[in-house]
Amino acid sequence: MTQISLTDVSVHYPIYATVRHRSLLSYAANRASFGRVARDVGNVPVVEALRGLSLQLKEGDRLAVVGRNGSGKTTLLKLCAGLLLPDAGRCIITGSRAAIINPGAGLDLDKTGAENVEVIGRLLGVRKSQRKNLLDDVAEFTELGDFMNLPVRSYSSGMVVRLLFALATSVERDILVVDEVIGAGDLHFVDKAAKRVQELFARTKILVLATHSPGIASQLCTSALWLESGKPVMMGAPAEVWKAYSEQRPPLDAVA
Amino acid sequence: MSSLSVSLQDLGGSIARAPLAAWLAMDDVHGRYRRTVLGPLWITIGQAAMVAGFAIVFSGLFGADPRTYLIYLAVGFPVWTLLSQFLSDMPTAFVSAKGVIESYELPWLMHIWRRAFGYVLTFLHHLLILFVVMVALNIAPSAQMLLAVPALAIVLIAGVGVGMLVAVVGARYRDLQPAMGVSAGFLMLMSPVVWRADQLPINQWIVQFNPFYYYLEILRAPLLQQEVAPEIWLGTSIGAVTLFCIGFAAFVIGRRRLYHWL
Repeated sequence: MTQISLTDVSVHYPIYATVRHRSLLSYAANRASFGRVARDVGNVPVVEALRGLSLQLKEGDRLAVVGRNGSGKTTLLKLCAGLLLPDAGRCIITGSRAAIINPGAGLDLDKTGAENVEVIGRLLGVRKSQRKNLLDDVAEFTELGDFMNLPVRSYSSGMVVRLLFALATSVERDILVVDEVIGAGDLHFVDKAAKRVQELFARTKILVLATHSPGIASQLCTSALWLESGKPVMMGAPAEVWKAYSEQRPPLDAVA
Repeated sequence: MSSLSVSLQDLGGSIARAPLAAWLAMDDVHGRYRRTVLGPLWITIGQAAMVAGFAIVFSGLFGADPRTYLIYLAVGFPVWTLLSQFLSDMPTAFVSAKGVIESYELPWLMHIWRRAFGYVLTFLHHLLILFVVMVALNIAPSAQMLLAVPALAIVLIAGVGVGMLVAVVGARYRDLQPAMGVSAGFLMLMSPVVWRADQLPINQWIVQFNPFYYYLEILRAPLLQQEVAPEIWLGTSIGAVTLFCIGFAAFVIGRRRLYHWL
């Protein structure tokens, strides 16, 4: 059974503000001098990225996560993707996972498009018998033609985006975590990309999507969660949550 | 999901993905020499020059038989490079894999195996020199050399243990990598790589209390067709398992914070 179950989950981030925070030498000096040297080593500021969040997602759920920058959206996605473990609370995630958070990882500019498809196919766990299909699929979708056999270094930025997009959306998993939908290339391509994304989302059992677009939230998702400073503010139908979210304005003293 | 259960799953998964790690390691080596005609043969050439240079200068200085000394170096340098890479290269194993960790559902420890297999691959390239030297000096291979295979396994287990430890600490403290880099030369000088343990007139403790000596010995001696004392086999095996446990413990403790550190 595919599920994401978060119970009263909190996540803290250490902020390594100075070089000393990342230095073994400073740490050793601090310890050896009983704290008299390099005093700031022990005081790493901590940010609470998520506080007391509970969330139950089951098969068929498509959750849109909305909120301002720094509200904890990406932290929630990384938690759902299994990258972070909670500092407090319980977090149970069952099912295979894919994350579109940092597309482009593993891409080698000196390799050809086809060679990159081979490597990334392996990283994605595509079986040997399926890798030919993957290559055909990517070649057809990206319309790269002969460029597939040239080094990625020679591609235009739009071509690189198309290649990355095609690869990121090529494998289906039980749980898919997406940080904003990547916009790409010419207009013709945007339509094609939107269609491909929708098809992928439809085959995914649980979708968690961070977005700044009301259209995407209500079109693709069944529910929405609004986060503010790491705390859940509202959860419900995408349209309602979006309405409440867009009506809310930050108080003036918070801006000043 | 406790850190321990996640880490155990990760370890199991990383062993299951060993073929992927090996393939990526091979791809890494090819990638480094992609734009050269000779390709990975550069690894062999570089090491051959080093062995030849040391053999010419030091056989005279030490008054050693040039033939014995040449073959001693042709095994000693590759083994030393293999051992030292676990310390000097592993601290960046997780840091430089950040993007891959974020994007693909792969065990994190796969990145440790990937690097470790890469070191073994480099080692095998270096060993070509040994075979050239053996042919040139007309030395016949023997079955005893096959003991290098279990020795390599022991070195790999110990090395992956050390690797897990320094990769976790190296993610948290970014000066571990340069610290290890500058220590490598010193450690090589303090270990019997260019000199022999039985040549040391004083300060025998340099060898006796040097863990590198035993791991050097266990892999070098079979390739030189020499006996390895049973207590060295036993000691290095126990050491390897201990190091692996320490390294894994570091991963379990570090796993909760590891992603923040990358």
